Amino acid sequence: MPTPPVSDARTPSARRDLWLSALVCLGPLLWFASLGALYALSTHECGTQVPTRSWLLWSLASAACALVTLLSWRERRHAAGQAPDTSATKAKRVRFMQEAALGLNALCLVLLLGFVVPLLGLRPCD
Amino acid sequence: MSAELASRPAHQHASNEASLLASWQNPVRGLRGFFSEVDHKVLGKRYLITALIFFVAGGLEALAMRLQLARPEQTLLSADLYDQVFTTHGSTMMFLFAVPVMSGLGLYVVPLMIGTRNTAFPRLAAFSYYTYALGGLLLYVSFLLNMGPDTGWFAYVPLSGPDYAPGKRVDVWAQMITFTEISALALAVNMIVTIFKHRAPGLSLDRMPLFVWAILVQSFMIVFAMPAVALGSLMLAADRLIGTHFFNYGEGGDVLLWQHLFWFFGHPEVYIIFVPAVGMMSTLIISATRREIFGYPALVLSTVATGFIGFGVWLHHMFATGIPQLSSSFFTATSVLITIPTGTQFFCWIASLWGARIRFHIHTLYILSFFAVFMLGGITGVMLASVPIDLQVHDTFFVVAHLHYVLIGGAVFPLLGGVYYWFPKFTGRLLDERLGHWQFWSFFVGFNLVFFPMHLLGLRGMPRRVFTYPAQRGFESLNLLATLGALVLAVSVLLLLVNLWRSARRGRLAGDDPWASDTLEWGTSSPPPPFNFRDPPTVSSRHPLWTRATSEPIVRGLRDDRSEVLVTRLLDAEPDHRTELPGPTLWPLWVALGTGVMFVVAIFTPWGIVIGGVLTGAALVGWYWPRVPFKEELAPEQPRSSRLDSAEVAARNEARSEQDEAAALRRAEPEPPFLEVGHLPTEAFGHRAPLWWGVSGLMAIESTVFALLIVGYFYLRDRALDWPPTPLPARNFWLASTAVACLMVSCLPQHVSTQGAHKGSLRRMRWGLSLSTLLGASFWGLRYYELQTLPFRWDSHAHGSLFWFLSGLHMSHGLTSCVENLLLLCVLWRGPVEEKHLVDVAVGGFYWYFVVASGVLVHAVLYLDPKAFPF
Repeated sequence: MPTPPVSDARTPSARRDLWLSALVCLGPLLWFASLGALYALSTHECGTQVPTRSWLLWSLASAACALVTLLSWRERRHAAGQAPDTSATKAKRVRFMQEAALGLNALCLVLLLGFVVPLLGLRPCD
Repeated sequence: MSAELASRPAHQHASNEASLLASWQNPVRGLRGFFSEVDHKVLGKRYLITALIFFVAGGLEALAMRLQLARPEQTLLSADLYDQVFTTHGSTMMFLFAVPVMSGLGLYVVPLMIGTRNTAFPRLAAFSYYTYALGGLLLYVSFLLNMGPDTGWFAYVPLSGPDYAPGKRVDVWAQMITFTEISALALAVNMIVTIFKHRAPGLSLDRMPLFVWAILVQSFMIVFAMPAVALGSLMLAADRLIGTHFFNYGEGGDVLLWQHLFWFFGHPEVYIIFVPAVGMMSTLIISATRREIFGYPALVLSTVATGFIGFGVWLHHMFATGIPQLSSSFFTATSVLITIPTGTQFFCWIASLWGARIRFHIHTLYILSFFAVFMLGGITGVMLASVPIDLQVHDTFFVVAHLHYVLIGGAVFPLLGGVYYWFPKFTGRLLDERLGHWQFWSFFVGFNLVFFPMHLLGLRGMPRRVFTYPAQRGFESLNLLATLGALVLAVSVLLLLVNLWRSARRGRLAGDDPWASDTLEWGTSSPPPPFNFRDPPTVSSRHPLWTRATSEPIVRGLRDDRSEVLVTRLLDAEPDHRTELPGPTLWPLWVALGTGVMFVVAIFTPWGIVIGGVLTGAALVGWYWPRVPFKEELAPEQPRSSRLDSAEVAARNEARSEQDEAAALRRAEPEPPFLEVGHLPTEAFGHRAPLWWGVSGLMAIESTVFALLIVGYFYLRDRALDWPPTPLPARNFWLASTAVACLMVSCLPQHVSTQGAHKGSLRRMRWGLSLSTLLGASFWGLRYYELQTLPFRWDSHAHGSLFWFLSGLHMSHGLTSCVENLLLLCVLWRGPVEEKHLVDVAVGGFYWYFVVASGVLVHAVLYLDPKAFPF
């Protein structure tokens, strides 16, 4: 019987990396989920012709995306002081991921804000 | 880096090329050697050549269509043949050329670019290739037998349904789609894991070449987009062959469900083709300007953003289906805003070229022409994202012009540039420049002559997908012009073929790095040896070959006598452990053939699923079955057998003595520092293991399939007046609940076996796996009995179809997991148990939890949905 292979114990930096990776994906996932939900809701709201639920959903999604963008911005701003022991290579990679998170989340916020135009200008079943 | 950085005497560590060659080269020749090959370079070349053959076939079909449309009322092709030709042309170009050629190029180049010796799953790469080739063969054999599909590459229902398309033509198409998508999915998972886990030490995410980023994004897009069309084509085949009602409006189905499924794949497909081209553009621009690209982070971000946003634009293909305007407008907004990442890429490239001393090779011409051609396709794309314009030009030649400007302009132009750029890497020879100039200019002129007039034809109202048109409608001259352009384009492709053929044999020798490029694939010989790098490199910048100092460490400590590679960590590419890759084998071919039998025979009888399933399953068992490695099995026979002839043995001995001399010379030189990895473990658990990532990829694909089916369930449920038409009996609810409870309880013994693997306890693993398999089998038996007692079947109504489909799909997962557990038990009882089997047990447990979670979800959807709740 062979000896067991090495374990996969996580280090604190692995947890931080996980958080950073999640931050990169959060905005796009929020945007995609809200797009699908807005599409489904707009068909459902044909009866009332008042897109109240769509507005509510849009507001929630936009607020959540704004929050995620803010978190990404804070993450990037406080990057330097958080991990003084990290190597230069790792620090550069972390900064790269922080920039990616900020950029992607900001772009998704723009996409979500773009949805306000049809919500303002059209009724559900025009 | 966590591995030890040291400098030791060379003779202890110098990689022995002869032994590397023996470990990495396929020792078998002839047909068996051909079909057992697992080298990524060989398979990549096969992908490229096969895709080129399909490109020529698709091109000839396009030429036939253009000749037919050159004049009004032509009779060169009958209406029926024209339908077959345009469907085969579209299906070929989208499924058999565009995606496979990009993936094939990635398969060849990416492992070299990231400094590894093969892909993470070499046998899976072989399986991908055979599946792809067989899928293409199926389409073309049926086409030659006058059974070619004739409902367009999109196969809209009800036109492609059983009522309007009798016969087997659509079945062939549907099976071919599922078949080739399996191939693309397998390769995508392979590429993701290779990029995640096999990068050279130091090649962190922020240093990855842009082409590698592009292939990574493309692979993720494939994982989440292609299940939609594979599922859709399975449902279409089921509607036609076993009488389900997914798309039958009369029985609760919906034809628009097909369009949603198809375009949820179809639009990302455009980006699946375009994104690798973006990576090629960046690579070629860096090479042409010999300086760092402008805005690397912005380019990566744009590529990733395109990957994400590409999934939110599918509805713009359905603007003419009567969807409410508010719904459409969200997709208009997204379709317009996707220009932000594309625009960012354009500006970064222009800034990179600005003020640079550009080296004009053929591939530089393709870069520059891309800007003009793709820009036009992009602008018409923004026009088509607007609902009023889309409704005006829908189904006209304007759309044909747009899609060809996007796909040829956006993908084929960079691809051809890429062919000129990487051809020396494939063959060690340069393509002929003079012939290349002729080829480029004829391609550029021919392309614009064919497709630019189509914008005008579309605006004048000429519909697409018609086999002829009446005279005196103002279409004649533009059609004739387009046909002349098609002839010029055909000449250009012919020149390309001649150039490829001649240069591969008699082209000018290129040397190892003819373009003085910056990425690692040029850091080895051209063409590369079977082991890619004698000493695997380390990386300390984005341009490793430009910044490589003499003190750059190389990787030492990997075994030369085995096909061992280094596994690194995902984000920073720090050395993590070593792993041995499997060698040449015929099993991937047998599995692909078994799958082929399943899909082809199923066209004629549902028993095909059973027959093919058994064959595939048996081949998979053979694939997995632990045995003496292929090469070790052959080694004692070699002196006696004819597998290696005496000339080859002499050649190898000669090569070995030359290598020994070279090694002796190297010993005299000062030894570069190296990164010692010999002390690293040979396996790892959890997310550190490539297998864990491979299974995660599989789970991502299957989760997408389940999610789409569940969304489809609620989509049809919301549109149906009575759902379910036949009430669910309470007895079945209890049976199904008991079955799911068994499955949930099985997590406990499975956890015990996983813990046993971590602790190296054989007893725990055996008991855990035995009990969980028993509980899994109980689940399966109970659900089987429950399905038998249902008051409806799959062909009763759409609810029945979805009920059986979801249940059957999940049960097949349960069965697969049980078989997998049984196999592991065989290994644990029979031995010898190696470290990799412990990882197999742990990863098998991980997959088991997924099967349990999906079982609970399926049960909740089918029985706890308030509309279907039986109480």
